[in-house]
Amino acid sequence: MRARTRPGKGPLPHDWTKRVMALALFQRAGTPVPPSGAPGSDGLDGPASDAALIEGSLADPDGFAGLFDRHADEIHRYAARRLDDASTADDVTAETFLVAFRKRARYDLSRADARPWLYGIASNLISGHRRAETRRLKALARSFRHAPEQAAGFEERSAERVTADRLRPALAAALARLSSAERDLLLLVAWAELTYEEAAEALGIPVGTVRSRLSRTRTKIRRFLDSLEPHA
Amino acid sequence: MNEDEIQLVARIRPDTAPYDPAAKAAARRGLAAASAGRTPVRSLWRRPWVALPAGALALAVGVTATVLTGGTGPERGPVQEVVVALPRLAPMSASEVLGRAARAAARTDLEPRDDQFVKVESETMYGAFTVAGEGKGEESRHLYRTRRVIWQSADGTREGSLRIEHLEPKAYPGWPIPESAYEEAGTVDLHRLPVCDPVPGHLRTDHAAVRRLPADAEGMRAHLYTGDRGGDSRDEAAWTRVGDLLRENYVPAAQRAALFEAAATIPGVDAVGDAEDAAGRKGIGVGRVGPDGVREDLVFHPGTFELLGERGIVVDEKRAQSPAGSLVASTAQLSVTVVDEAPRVEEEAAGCG
Repeated sequence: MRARTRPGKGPLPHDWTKRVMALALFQRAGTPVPPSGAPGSDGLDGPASDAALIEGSLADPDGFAGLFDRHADEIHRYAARRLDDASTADDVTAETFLVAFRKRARYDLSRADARPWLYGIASNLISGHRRAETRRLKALARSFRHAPEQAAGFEERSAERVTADRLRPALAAALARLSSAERDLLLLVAWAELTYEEAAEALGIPVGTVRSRLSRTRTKIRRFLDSLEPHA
Repeated sequence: MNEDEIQLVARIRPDTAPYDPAAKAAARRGLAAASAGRTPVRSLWRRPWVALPAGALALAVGVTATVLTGGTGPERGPVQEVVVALPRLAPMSASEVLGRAARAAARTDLEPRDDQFVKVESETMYGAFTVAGEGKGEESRHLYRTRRVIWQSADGTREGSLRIEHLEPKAYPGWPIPESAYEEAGTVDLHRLPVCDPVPGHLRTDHAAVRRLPADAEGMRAHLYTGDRGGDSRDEAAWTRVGDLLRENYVPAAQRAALFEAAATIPGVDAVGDAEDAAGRKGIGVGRVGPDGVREDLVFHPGTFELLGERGIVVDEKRAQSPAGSLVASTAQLSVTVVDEAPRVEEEAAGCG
């Protein structure tokens, strides 16, 4: 709750931190791990679920690094897709896991896969970087200029791909016009490939809301694209 | 065309460069540092303790003005509980105190060279909590006290060191002192502070990072609010960070002034007139009440507005599980100096978080 760290000073926080002499420490020293659902079940029944890993990290915080090892690349990939510069994506990824670590006691352990939860935290952090997000969408719109030449050289490209390429600037502009709640949801589905259920978990909204919000978002995009047609 | 808009958006998904291994390693280290912070006491099991001969303790702490009765001997009478009066509002507002502290900052600037070290001596008292579990022990609390000396490389390129001398514990008001609380008293720890690749910038509180912070109040405020710390209140997190930056460190005058000005803008921060630091120096407390019912103050000298130390005082009995007015944390920054060298420490297990 109020742990503070002294980065660079190793295991020596000197602060208001309560020194929790958790008996879990003795467990580290060799007490058998609880039978099921704990991180130690690796190797017996295949890898532990994210939920088991998170549960184990309540007693042994170091274990939380396992979640980073599993999902950091994926979260980073998503952040890097949504934000223009790599260092911001790096920051968002680092912060996502720190936030997750601090909130882990509130994780719903009935959810075996923690990715939706992590995506939700990352989405929040990404919305805090409006400028990098806007720059990304602008860059996406500009990349159209190079697309036609490229497309000519790749005849195997599908017609749909070419359509999307042609629409790229308009789509990027449409994305920029969405509310951040709409954009978060749309991109979790379209770019992170979350299912509706996972997206609902990530954003903490009911699946029904996911459907209605997506449908509204699609209509918005459609209208925007249509509005451009006459000038095209 | 009838194509689904979602599929269209999926098709313009940008490609990305792979996660830079150095950035990834830094992020993982940051996480490891955070998890180490959760159970810092782990070091108790890891490190051999360096015992001091009886008497050495009393000698060493004689320097401070702090009351320290008894040495490390076996006598363990009931320890007096530390209860002080409830905070009274100061005649000066928090922003006035912090404003004066900001202006006073310009009067003291050390300007260490890159190859030098910032040395800070302090005395501290914080709560130590034992969590009960599976019949292996009882929940307990006590206040552990230390005298610390830290040497930090000015530019962060040299190994620093940290000396911790454990003093006699005190009772956490409302809780009996557990026998085990006395085990550390009289021992001295020496630690190496290895040069580590930095954790994410906004989490750093070492001197080399602090001296590069924004020197204007607005930039500093943004820094205080950078990142979601996962708590329930961003203002609380920002106030926490103010303390983290000042504690056991030397913050250059420009950054210090900016920090005090920025701190004055944090909602919930106010001033109380009757604060005292761990060395018994009276001053003005500026702070806010945290979610645990404890008010966390920075203590400023009432005349020079220099930072003396910190204190934590119970204002909400229920949440703090301790009587209102109890002193549950207290520190004093005793000296801040620039020195050419840090003592060498032989320690095998000096890791980077």
